[in-house]
Amino acid sequence: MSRILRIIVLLLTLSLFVLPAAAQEPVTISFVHIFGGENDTRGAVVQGIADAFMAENPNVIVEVSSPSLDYTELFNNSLLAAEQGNSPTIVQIEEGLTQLAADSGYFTPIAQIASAEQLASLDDMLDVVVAYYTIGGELYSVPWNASNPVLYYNKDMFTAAGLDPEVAPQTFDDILAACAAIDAVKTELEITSCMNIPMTAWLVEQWMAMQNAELVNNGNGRTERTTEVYFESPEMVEIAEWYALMASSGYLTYSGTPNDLNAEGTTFLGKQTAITINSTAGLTLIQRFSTLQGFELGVARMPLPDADATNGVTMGGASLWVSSSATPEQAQAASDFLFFLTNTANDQVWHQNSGYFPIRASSIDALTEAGWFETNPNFAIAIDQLRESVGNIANAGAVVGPSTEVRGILVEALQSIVDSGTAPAEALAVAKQRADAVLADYNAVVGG
Amino acid sequence: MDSELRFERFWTRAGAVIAAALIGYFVVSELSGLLRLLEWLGQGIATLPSALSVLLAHYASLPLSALILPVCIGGVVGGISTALVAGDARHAAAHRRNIVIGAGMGALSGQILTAALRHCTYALEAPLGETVAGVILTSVSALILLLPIWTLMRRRRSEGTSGYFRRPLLAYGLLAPTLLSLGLFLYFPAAQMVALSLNLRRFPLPQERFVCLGNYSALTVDPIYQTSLLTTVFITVAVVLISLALSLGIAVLASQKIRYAVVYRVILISPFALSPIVTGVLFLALFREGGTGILSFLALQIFGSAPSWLRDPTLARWVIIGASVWNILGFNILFYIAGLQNVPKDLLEAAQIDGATAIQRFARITFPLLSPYTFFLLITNVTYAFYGVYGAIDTLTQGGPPIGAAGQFGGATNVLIYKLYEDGFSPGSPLGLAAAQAVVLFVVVAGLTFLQFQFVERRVTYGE
Repeated sequence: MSRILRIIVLLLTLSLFVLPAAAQEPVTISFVHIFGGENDTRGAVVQGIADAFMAENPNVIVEVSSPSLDYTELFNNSLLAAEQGNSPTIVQIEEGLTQLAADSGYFTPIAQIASAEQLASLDDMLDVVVAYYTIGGELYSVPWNASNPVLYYNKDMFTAAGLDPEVAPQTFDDILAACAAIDAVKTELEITSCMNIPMTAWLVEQWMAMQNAELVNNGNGRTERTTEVYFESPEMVEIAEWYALMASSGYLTYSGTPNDLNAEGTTFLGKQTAITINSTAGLTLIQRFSTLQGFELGVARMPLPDADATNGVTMGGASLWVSSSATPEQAQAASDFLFFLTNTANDQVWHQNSGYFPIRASSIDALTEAGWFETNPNFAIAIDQLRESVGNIANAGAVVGPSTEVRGILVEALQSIVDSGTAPAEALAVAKQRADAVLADYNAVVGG
Repeated sequence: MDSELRFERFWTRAGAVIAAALIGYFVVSELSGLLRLLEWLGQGIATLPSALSVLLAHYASLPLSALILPVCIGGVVGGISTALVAGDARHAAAHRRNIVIGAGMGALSGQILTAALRHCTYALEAPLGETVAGVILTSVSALILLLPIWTLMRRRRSEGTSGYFRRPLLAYGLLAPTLLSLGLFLYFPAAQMVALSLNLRRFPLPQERFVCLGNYSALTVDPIYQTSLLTTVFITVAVVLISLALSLGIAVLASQKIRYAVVYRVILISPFALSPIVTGVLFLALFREGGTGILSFLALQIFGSAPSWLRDPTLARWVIIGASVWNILGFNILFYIAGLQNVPKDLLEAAQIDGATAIQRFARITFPLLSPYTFFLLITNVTYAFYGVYGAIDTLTQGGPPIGAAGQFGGATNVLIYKLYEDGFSPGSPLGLAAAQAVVLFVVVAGLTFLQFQFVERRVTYGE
């Protein structure tokens, strides 16, 4: 037996030496995104673009993978790996985590990596899209998948309530008026409420931007790290009072779980409400299911708080960040790949196959010429609304380091207004106090 | 006989070859990981000298009071506790020697936690609460090294070596793999977590700021954390009582001699096969609001209005309790059915002959004989209610609905484990505070388990 053991030990020792030394010639970059779900065709689109890139650049290997299907999890995993010096070269990061990713120091701003030619090509990108990922005048990441909220409504129910189904509500007041008419025939329509919306800070951020109001101080956190939220501003109070009025009139409902866009889509498609707001990312799905459910779907722009609140919406979605642990060759290859992924041709492919926006003016023009928006008019609504956002501080959107917590507090304020009838002013005052404490704590860590 | 011997020898060798092949396969396939582990261990060892110099520099810079006080406290605690526990009244000299050793070791051991705290609680400007906590921690720390020493003292006293391993080296060799993995994957991370709880840190920012017991004192004044603690107690008590009572009742019914009893049992036990997350999703399908939840829909059809299952603080708690009870019920029923099968039939028959009613038989015979099962289930259910409800809460309410304006008093279902997870794992959240919560939660659960063993187990009958 001892002989056998000896042989095994010998074999094991030998095996240490025969391992192939890693081949060094091609540059390998890794790219992680969240579109790897089993039935998610978007993953295949990304892989297709990566394959095309590798065919053009034989010295670069792009390893595309999707270790997680959730932005938060992907972020946590990638940054834990980064702490161990093992970060993926390119990480897809949700818009809300922009400031945190920048503060972490684990990423190199793309402005420092990209060539002059690549940076010049950014002029073609929509203003608000580029503005979102620019902090202190520097672009940190390459914008990629962009989405927006739009208004969805049930045209059949509008007709039944005596409303013109071709005239969508455009303002908060329009919604109140439409809901008054729909509420009158609530029993006949067999609905629970007139409207349901996802209980999320995202919508509130849009409505602040539309009123040209900043959500946080220091230029929405873009000139310097923010130290104070503007939750008690008149613009925010106006939004909160609309929530209160909608709820107290019995016009508003939600699934009971915050941030659940799927559940709200289900409620609307289940003909339990007449109006909802949801992401354009779900547009294709909602169109398909409304046909199955046998009602005529109306899609309109995100409603305005006031008729004159026309400053435009902010961006939602994610961007692509390059790890600071990448070698210069890897960083260069990563930059080349990212600008290939978002070039005019691939931007169109991505839009047509994912439902996310095209983010370049040139690709929107090309799609318009090809008649894409005539066959898909609902996409045009969402893109027009984003294109008309001029790109100023308010609609660039707020960047906040501890955004998960701050957004969570805002949602709790809305919940307490809608569910327990707390006065908007009181809820917002408490929310501001809590959020400011979180900001102070965060800044103490970053500064210290 | 000969063939038997050959047979045995063959299988011994075959076993050795298979084991070696498996180990070899593991080593080869996991080579890169193992090398990384070795490299990491090497790096850890390489940092020891610098860590030591940091420690020495720390001690050199200490004010005299911060150095002497904890040493005295540790010494006194060590001396007194040794006299009480391992004192030897028969030999005065040995007694004195033990106390001196105890005091010395206590003074040394007291430094473990105190140095981990960087003696910050002994600083002059430390708040009173932290100073008191520091004294308690030093006293507890004094006992860490003393526990094994007391064992040695007792061993020396009890003559003879029976019951002890003759070759300690071999014993430690055999224990080494277990100790190594425990140390690497349990004790080391636990120690790191305690260290983290003394810092302000926000993942993934690399910055770290030492705040002494600041995270703990922040917890004591945080109304959201207090609500969370009360909510946890409420949900735990409700889940444990309801699930134990219900499962015992169901198990008694399912143990009756009826047709297809096995089928019923399988159906009753099956919810346990679902993870808490799946349970949450199932309950979401029932209780979702806005008209699409099955129960909400039925209520709307029948009564014209549906309760705010998830938006009303009281109802939301009961939905969570319901989901948790339903999830753990199968596990409890399984054990109770097994327990009921072990209740001797002759006892029950004898009681019946003596004229005992069914209720008397259950209360006087079955229930006491089931007490070991009840005790085991009590501990597992308490642990489940503390840790396992996370999945249901995450899918159903996410800690809500908020209590007070903008949730200033926390959330109705924001139990300790959910709050801990949210604080520890959402990007940019206060990691040091989460670590402090983890330490508190561990102390609470460990304390509860200890109390259960102390006070409940005495009433448990294990049979003869």
